Amino acid sequence: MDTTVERMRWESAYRSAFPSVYRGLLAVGARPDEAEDALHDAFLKGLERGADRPVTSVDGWIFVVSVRAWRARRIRERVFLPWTVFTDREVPSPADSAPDVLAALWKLPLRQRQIVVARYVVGLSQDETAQLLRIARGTVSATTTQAIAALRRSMEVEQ
Amino acid sequence: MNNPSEQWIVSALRRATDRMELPPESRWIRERRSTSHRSSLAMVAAATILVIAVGGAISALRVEPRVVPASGVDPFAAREDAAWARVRSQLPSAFVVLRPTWIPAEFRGSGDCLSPSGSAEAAGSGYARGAAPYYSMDYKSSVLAGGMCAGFQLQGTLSVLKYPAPNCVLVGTLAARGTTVGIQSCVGHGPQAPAGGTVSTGLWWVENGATYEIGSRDVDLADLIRIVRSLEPVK
Repeated sequence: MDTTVERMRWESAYRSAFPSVYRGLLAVGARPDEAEDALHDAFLKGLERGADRPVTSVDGWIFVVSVRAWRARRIRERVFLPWTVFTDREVPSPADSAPDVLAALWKLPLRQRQIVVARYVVGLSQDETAQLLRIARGTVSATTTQAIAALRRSMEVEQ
Repeated sequence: MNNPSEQWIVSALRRATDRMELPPESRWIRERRSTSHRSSLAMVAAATILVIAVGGAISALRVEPRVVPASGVDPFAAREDAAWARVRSQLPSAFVVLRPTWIPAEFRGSGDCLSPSGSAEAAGSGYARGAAPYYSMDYKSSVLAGGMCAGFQLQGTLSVLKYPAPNCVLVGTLAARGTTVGIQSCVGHGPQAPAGGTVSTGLWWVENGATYEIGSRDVDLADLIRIVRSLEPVK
């Protein structure tokens, strides 16, 4: 297919996916600037991927690739810019006046956060989540149940 | 997910994320840059900040008053003019950039949906290396369920492309702009799409050696045709 056509289609799909994936990244724990950078990395990777390897769920693919890019950036910064430890946070602090549910979410392990956000913020099905994260469908189901239960306990305690 | 308290948690999570502010659409796509140099750039930037700190503090004492736009200027019209001027300036003069002189009134943007927002690339620059010159302009209205903005997109590229696009079917043609305009219906699939996918309508045609396309899920065919008929070259 023509390179320009591919790019037009990918850009259009990326723009459609941007709102839910950006919010998903913030919900997982990325800062706004990190989320923008990670999304743009995913956009470029999608361009390089080409039409010969289509993705079944654009939103899901962008989410997983951008989470990976965000995590890689965090690790890279810890290695090469150790002073960022003092200004960086693994997860946002509840003191940011975030809604309670987000504060509770940020207390969960990254894997649980990622699966909950993939399912309920990005809107992926269990099958899509399992396929994109390369885990079993049952693992998605069990992790989701555990995470929701943990959220409920956390929020009940806070209330 | 049958437990009411679990459903409440999920809906609370969705409400919380729906409230998260999105960056301006102009920042959603940037020029290619190397992320591998980010660490080095950060260190250089830190050193630079230290060097200029004193100078910055001194100049801050002499800041000129902020220029306030004159009242009575339509912010949408100003933003639209600037967006089209930016697109025009980035493309070769041989490429006729078409701009609508009429759009449905609701697509003048809203708090969460910047309108319009455009991008353009000349051949061989940025991530469009090797591709033909290209531009797109998005006009948005308001946020729909799922966080997407209702809108339509106008695109053009200085090459002749094959249509209808994949996942699209030709549903008709019409005469406009001195040529034949094709009408396609496309089905998009994704997590936010309803069962059976979302249906969008697109019009495309070739003019002055370039292919233009306008598409939307939110604008009806009659208005899309009216927009096409209103297009004028950007000087």
